[in-house]
Formats: sequence, C-alpha cells, structure tokens
Amino acid sequence: MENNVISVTVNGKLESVDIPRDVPLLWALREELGLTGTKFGCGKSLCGACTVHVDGEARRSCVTPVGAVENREVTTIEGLIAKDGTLHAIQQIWVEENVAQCGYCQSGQIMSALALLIQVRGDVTDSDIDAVMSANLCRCGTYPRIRRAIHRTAAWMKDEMYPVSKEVIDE
Amino acid sequence: MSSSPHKINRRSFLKVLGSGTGALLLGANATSCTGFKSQDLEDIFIQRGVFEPNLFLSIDPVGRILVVSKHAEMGQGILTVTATLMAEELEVSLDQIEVVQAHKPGFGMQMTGGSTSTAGLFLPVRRAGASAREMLRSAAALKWGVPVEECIAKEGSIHHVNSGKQLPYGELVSLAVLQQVPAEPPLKSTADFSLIGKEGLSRVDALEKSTGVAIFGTDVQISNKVCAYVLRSPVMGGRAEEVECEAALKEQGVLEVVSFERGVAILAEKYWQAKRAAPLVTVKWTGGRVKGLNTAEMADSARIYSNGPGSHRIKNVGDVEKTFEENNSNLIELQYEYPYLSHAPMEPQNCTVLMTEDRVKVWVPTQAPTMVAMAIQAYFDIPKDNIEVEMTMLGGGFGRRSCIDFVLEAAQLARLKLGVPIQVAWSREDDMTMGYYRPQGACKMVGAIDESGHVLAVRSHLVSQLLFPEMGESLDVVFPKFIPEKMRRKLAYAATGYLSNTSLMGLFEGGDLATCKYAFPNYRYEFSPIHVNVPVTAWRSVAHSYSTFIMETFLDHLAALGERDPLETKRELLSVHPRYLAVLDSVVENSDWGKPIEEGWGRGIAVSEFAKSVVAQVVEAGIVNNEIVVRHVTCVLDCGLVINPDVVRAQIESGIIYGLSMMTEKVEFVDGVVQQRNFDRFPALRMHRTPEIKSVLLPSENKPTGVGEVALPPVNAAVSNAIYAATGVRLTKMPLQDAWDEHVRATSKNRVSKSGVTQ
Repeated sequence: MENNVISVTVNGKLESVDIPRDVPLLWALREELGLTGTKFGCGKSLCGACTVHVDGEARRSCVTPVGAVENREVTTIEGLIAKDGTLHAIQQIWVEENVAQCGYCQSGQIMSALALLIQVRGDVTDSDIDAVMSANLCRCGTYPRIRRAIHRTAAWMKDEMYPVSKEVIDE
Repeated sequence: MSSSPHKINRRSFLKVLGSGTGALLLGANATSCTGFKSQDLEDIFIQRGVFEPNLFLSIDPVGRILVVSKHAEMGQGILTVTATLMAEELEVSLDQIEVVQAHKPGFGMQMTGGSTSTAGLFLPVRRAGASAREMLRSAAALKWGVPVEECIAKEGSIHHVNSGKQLPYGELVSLAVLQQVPAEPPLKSTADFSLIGKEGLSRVDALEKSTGVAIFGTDVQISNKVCAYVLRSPVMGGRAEEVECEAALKEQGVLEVVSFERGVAILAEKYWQAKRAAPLVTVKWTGGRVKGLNTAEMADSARIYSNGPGSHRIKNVGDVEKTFEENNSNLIELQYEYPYLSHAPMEPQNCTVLMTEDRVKVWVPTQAPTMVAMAIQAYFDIPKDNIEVEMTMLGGGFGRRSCIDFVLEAAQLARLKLGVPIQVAWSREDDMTMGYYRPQGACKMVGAIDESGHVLAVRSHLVSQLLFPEMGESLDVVFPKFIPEKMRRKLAYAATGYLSNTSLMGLFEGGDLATCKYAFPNYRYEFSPIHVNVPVTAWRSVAHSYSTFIMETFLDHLAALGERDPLETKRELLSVHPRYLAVLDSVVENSDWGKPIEEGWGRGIAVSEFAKSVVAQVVEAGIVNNEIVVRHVTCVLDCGLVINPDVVRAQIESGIIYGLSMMTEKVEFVDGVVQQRNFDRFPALRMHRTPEIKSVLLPSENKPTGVGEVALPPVNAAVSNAIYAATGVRLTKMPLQDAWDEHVRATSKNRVSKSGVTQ
C-alpha cells in the first residue's frame, strides 16, 4: 500500500503522518506522534485498552486504520487535560476514587466512560455502564470503582449543564 | 577523586536514571537496609549534594524528598504503602515526597511476590524515616545551640518549641550528614500515627495513572531504539527450520530478520513496521518442548492416578484408613480438577535491552529485578556491576513478571546487535501461548462423618504439575533451557528460598491443602507430581487458587451430607484459632448468612489463610440462563495493622474479581498447541458480571500481613458452595462454568433417554 500523508486532528492539533493507511491508529499515536498514554492490550478489539475518541465516539484504535480517521478529530487520554494543566473532571474523580491499580487499562476505561457519559449527557444507568464498560477489560478488577467514578462524573456533568460534553464535541 | 568501584557504579547509574527521576541515588555500600556509615553520608553529600541516610531515602537542599520503593508496583499499591510508612516517621505529608521503583544492589534480593512486601517493609522503611528525622533534629539542635529534645519534626520542618524558630528539612541536610546515624531510632507509637491507617488518602500513583502519564515497559523513550516482532512456533519452544523473508526485508523500516532460539525476529525501526511485515515471513517450524501434549488426556490420567495412593505423604495424623474401615457406610468422595491458567496481565510481556561488549542496560516491568540482573550476568558473562535494571510501571504482574524468559529473549537479540537498544513487545497471543501458567492438576478427596454429621477423617491425594520442580531434576521446566543448568539451579534456589518457609510440596504445590488448620481427628494429605514440560510459575495466591477451593468445598460437602451447618462445622474444627473465628463471626454479622433467600439463589461460605492474613467470605450466587451469576460477596479480612484501608479494600476487590475470572478461564493444549490465544477464548470477568463487594477490615494491632492475593483463594469455593445451596449440584471442577455446563449436558441427556426421545 502506497504511503500518503494523512492529516488528522489529534487533541485539537492538526497532525500529519506519512505512513500506510492500513497501520492501526494505535501505532500512529504511539510511535508517530509519541502519545503513549493509549495502550496495546489485545490487538483484536477485545479488551478496550486502546480506546480513543474519533469525532467524540469511542473507537478501538488497535483495529482502526489510520486512513479511516483522515480529516477527523481524535482525542486521546492526553487530550483530556486542559491547556492550563487542569484535569478533566472525570480524571479528577478517577484520582479521588483511587480507581487505578496497575493502571495499564485505565486510559481506555476513562475514554470509554467519557464517551458513554457524553452520549447519554450525564444521564447514566447501571445497565448503560454494564453494556458499554463490559467491553473494557481490567485484570486488576477495578470495576466497582469505575462504576462509582462514572456515577460521580455523571452527577458532575448534570450539575455543570454538560460543559464537558460541549467542550469535547466542539473542540 | 577516588576511583573506587562503588563510586563509578553510582555515577553510571545516575547518568542513566538521572534525567527522568532526579536525584535517584544508590547505596551499593550500604551496611544494612537502614544505614550507611557516617563518613559515607558526607562523601555522598559532597559528590551529589544530597542527604542520603539509607537506601530508601534522599533529601536535597531544596527539600525535595525522594523515596525508593524496594518493591515493584503492579497495582497492589506498594508505592503508596512505602510512601506512607516513610512519611509517617519522617513527619511529612504524602504530597511532599516522590516515590520511585529502583533496583539497588544494596537491597539484596529484590523480588515482589507472595503478598509479603508490606510486612517486610513495615519496620525497615519506618526506621529509615525515623533515623533521618532524628538526624535532622540533631542538625537543628546543633545549628540553634539548643537541646535536641526541644526540636520537633513536623510537616517537613524542624521546629524549636521555645523560640518558635523553624527550618525546613532541605536547609538542614548539609548539617544532617554530619550526624550519627542512630542505630535504633525511636518509632512512633500506633496512637500517634497520622497517616498509617487513615482514610481518604489518594494513592501516590493515582494521578499519573489517570492521565496516561505513567510509563510502562513499551512507553520508555529511547533514542535509536529498534523494535522486534517475534514469530513463534505454534508448539512452544519449536525452532525455525526454514525461513523465507525476502519480501519482508523490502518493507518500509524493516532492518533485518533474525532466526534465534526463541523464534524469528523481525527487526524494524518501529513496532508497526515489524508487525506489518510479519505476514510476509514464512517459517517452517520443528520440534517444541510440549510437542503432542493434550491437556484433556493429562486430566484423565491425573484423575485416575488420584484414586490411588500418593507418592508423597505431606501430613498424616491419626489413623485415616482404620476410621474409613470402621465408618465405611458414611464415606464421602469427591473428585476435583483444575486447569492451566494464564496470568494474562493487561500489559503483555516486554523488555528493552541495550548491550555493549561489557555493559547491559535493561528497561523492564518486572517483579524480580535481581533475578533479571543475575540471569544476564550468568548467561551473557557481563560483570554484575555493569548491569543496570530500570524498572518501569508493571501493567499487572500476578506472578508472571517474576519470570525472566522475556528478558533473556530481548537480551539474546541485543547480544546480536551490540550498541542498539532492542525492544521486544509480545502480542497478546504470545503472552497467552508462551507460558508461564498456573499448574493443572486433579485431586481425590475422601472423608468420613459420624452419625451426627461430625467429620471423623479426611484424606486427600493431590496430583499436580510441580510448580518448583524438585531441585536438580527438571529445572528446565521452570527456567528456559537456554539458561545454563548451573544458573537455573541458582535461580530456582533463590526463588524458592525467598518464597518458601515450609515444605515445597505442601505450600507451593498445595499438597497440604492450603496449609489447612482444620483439626480433623484423622487426616492424611498426599501428593503426586506430574512431570510435564509446560512452563509453570506462581499465579496469584499460588497453590491456594486450587487447594483452598478443594478443602473449602469438600468440608462444605461433608457438612451438607451430615446435615450440619457448614459454618458450625468450620467453627468447631477451628476452635483454637481465634483469628479464624473472628473473621467467620464478622462475615456472618456483615452478610445475610443464615437468612432466607429466594428460589434459585444460594449462599456459600469459605475461610482461608494466605500470607499470614485470614479471610472469610459469604457469596450469593445462582444460575441464570445456565450461567453462574455471582451477585454479592461479603469479605472480611484480618491483615494485621492496616497501612492504607482503601488500598486494602481495592486489593480485596481485585482478588475477588481475579478469582471470579477463574469461573470461566482455562488454558488447554491440543497436540501441543495452546488453544486460548486471546481474551475471546480466555474470558476474564467483566463489568457486567462483577458482583457487589462488601469489604470489612478487622481492626488489629498486630504487624501487617499479606493483602495482594489473600481475597482470591476462598472465592471459588464460596461460589461452589452457594451453587450447591441453590441447586443441590456440587461443582468440583474448575472452571466452574464448565462444570455446570457438563452437569446440564449430562442431565439433559438423561432426560432425553428417559423419555425415549433420540436425536
């Protein structure tokens, strides 16, 4: 497959990568753009460790060809922090709930959770969480805390009239 | 400047580690874990400008406090525990210190496993903090010309009680290095603890792990790094006979294709380039260490063998045979099976190695940095002092990262490419099919009860693959063959010496059925080893992952058939073990044990001890659409003094969830080939199947004991007991879901034949 320069907006910044279009987005992020917060777990869309947002929706970057996100907006875990260094509310709550153990899957967990919360505009139920978050594996077993952190983030979103969802979608 | 070897070491370490971790310091000349000689402190201060009173701690004149974790952080929270112990005695807050993992020869054998870290650190780290605190107080007293008794350490400063004067630690370090290192620094009393045991503290690694900043094995940025993607024999250990790779070599970024002992490595500038070229390489494989192995046949043989006498007698009390003869109408037998299991940490194995003629630098997520260094020294003949092991965060460990196969593999490639950092990152398929595994085995249990349902005698015969093989016999089962035999022996001894404090076959292999404390009037625990060339190693909670399951379900069964309450049966047999009784009483109090439950659901109870901690659980489970569903777990833990209650609760949740994954997980070999290659066929527990978990920590003033693995052993037993209570079906085979499926198949077949319908 011929290389061509692929333009993609990553965390609000226009980037271009000169690699074959079939290279998974995961490796474009990690090896071409140095964004190592997104992790490799299974390579088959089975564990969710590589989850990023493409135009605001959760995508498994390990099976998404970089060519498929040309001219689209990709958000990774690194993109959640505000330019002044302020944590995204979901990250702040993740810290407060001591969610992470080994931490390897947590970027994917947070990105999946945030995509869900944006989709339901903070109006999340336990069955929403089961349906969406069951696609994200965690061998340390942080699920009870992930659930708690999602509910807390949802409450925050509703209180704040969804500024988070607007920000992420608009940017 | 002196040119003594230890100083050269320190400099070379600093050169490598300095940029990322600041004043990370070594103490190769430590006289013990807690102290250097006074003249060394001055020497260190002159050279590097820091006050480093011991291996665990350094403080610079700006007041930056760096704490070194002796143990690997794999999720269990040991960085937080180390920081808490240090901060408590040093009188600083957790956010005033930075804690890093490091391999330091002065620590001796650095190995993280067996849920032993907190117990092992409890006094040494506190002493390290207390001695620094005392030296800082002395320094202030000297500076102000006042008695040391009037100098109080508080919030990172020394305060003079009478004058109100204060100096932050940083401003005292140049004087502190001149003070005597106290041999026995006074430690704070429990009543004075301000951090130990406190709620509401964040883990010290919570921020970096919620922002994608934490550095795991393949996240290390190394210039000129070359990535290796390794093609492997379908039968582990098979060798490449013929390699066809011309097309691959034409691919962008591909540098070389190397056939070596572990497979065929495609070397490229980037991982994606190597992986993308992989389909263009064709390899003809031959041989393999497990060629022809079928685990189903192995299970059959083990089951049959377990019905005969064992080759080793682990424990024998009373007269089991006579009791059985006298009560032969009340004999109860159960047959157990358990499969190989992969640890399957979220981060697949990986390692980066830079080798020159006489130096090695390793970047690796490892539980066993000392063994990494020892193995490289032995296999590549590199002087010990020239081997640097930098530990990254571990994306899960569970025992898998105590092995060094993936390190030696990267080192072999690095040896071929001197001066080039080689990074080998395994695929998930590599991680699942290359071992190491939790052993497979079988067990036969026989028990006798009297007319009133009391247990008279228990006999077990466990048939299992040896975890740590008998020394000198089949060491290549534990360690890859390419490690010299002498080295394998040394490593095996080091590992077993570290982990074992009793009979190997009892503790490691489960031959004593989870170091059982039940006071049966007569019991005999027998063991027979399976010799097979499958690489096995410790898997979270080691043999307890099956031996506790066996004992706790069997006793439940004896109680049930004797029409007795399993709780009462346990309490009677544990009457001289107050910690067991306490967790049992508490778990009853904190759960609905003994209360009515709706049709189709049941409660199961189990108790166990691991790493000197005692835990009891009550599980609520049932069958929904032929799936075992666990909806609630109450877990009571006595782990001695609790350092950080939320870290302990997290490990309870973790142990239970990792344990419940065993309800569906197995690794099978068919004709030598592992069948479970990714998470689709190795179904670990996910969010929607996670029960509600209620954790209770019993207050204790005893020394801290294990936490990381302790909640796992009883959980499958409690589930099986709950399913028995719900359905009357006794599940004795793991994974439990397979056992239920087999039960359903068997009963539906019976139903079909009874009604005369054929298919």
